[in-house]
Amino acid sequence: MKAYHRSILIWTAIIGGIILLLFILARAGANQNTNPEETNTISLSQSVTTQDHKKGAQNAAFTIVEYSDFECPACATRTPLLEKLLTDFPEDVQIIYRHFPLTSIHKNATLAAQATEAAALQGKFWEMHDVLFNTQQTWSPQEDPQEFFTKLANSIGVNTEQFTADITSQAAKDAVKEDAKEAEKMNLPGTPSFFLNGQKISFNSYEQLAKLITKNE
Amino acid sequence: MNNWQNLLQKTNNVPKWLPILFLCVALFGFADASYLTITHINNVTLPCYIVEGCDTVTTSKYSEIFGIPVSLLGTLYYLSIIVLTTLFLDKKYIGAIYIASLLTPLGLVASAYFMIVMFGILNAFCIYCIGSAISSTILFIFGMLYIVRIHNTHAYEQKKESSKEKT
Repeated sequence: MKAYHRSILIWTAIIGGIILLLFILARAGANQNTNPEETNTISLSQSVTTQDHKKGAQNAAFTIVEYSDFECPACATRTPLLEKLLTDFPEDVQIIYRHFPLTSIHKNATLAAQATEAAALQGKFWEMHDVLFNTQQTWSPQEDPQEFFTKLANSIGVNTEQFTADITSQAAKDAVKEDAKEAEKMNLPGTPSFFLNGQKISFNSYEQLAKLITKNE
Repeated sequence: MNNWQNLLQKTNNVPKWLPILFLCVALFGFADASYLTITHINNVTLPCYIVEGCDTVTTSKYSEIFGIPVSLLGTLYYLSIIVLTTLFLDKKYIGAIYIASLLTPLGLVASAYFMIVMFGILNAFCIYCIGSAISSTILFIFGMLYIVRIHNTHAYEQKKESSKEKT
């Protein structure tokens, strides 16, 4: 083989290989966990109860159950998508929030979940849910974020004395533990994990989420 | 390497497996860093898994330097190693593999810094970042072994020449 041909062969193989590799990675990166058919092997074990935190339509055709962790960045990115879904399908969609704090990697997640349970006793679960996700980067690295959570509770009109007593109460701890136990029973690999009418789904963009609803309408 | 002209000298005095090893490891590192860059650019936040914290690492303030994703810098680093190694495989320029070897401490220092950030500051574990750290450590070890070898050979040749001149 002439040196000239050998050069062409080597560079074509390398450049072609890199382009192919980038093409495969771009597809994988853009479609990470977006195909509901691939992930729907897990079914929701615990159906919706009166204890669940819910918002949206009462007798909705589509119920989305979310297992989430307040310290998980991916969970924070999905919250606005669910909000938009509720705005666009006010008569059709109901959202249920369940706790799944990943204590091994998120040290403040359990206390954050308990904070929402304490706020829920004063009818402010979703308000606390929103402020916790919005301020995640502030409290996530803190050694003890309880004082910060109390400030957040105060900002949404929660009685802070009551909140301080409730956040570490056995009832709040049990409520979080029960949800997490259910998630572990289903062998959920992480958060956020979503179920649409009992079947596991995944999405990264609003378009993908809305498509799941319109497809089944 | 005494001067830049020496870099364009052709050599067969490099173990055949070395450029192949460099190429394979750099391709692995390139794929790993590119994947992180693509997900970063596409705004895909990696889900939070029970036993690892890729999400914590890739969304932290340490994931960018002056607005540039650090994974992109990693991609460019591995790409430069790939290009230099391919140049060596093609033209046998000693300088190509020599410069590639000289670049490897950069990768090692960057990886060491990110390991400190991951385990010392963020207390999170990211499998993709560890993959990149392993690649850069392998490149560093073999890069340095090659540099030592080339300097020893050079010193030996110089000694031989000077002893010839004496006789």
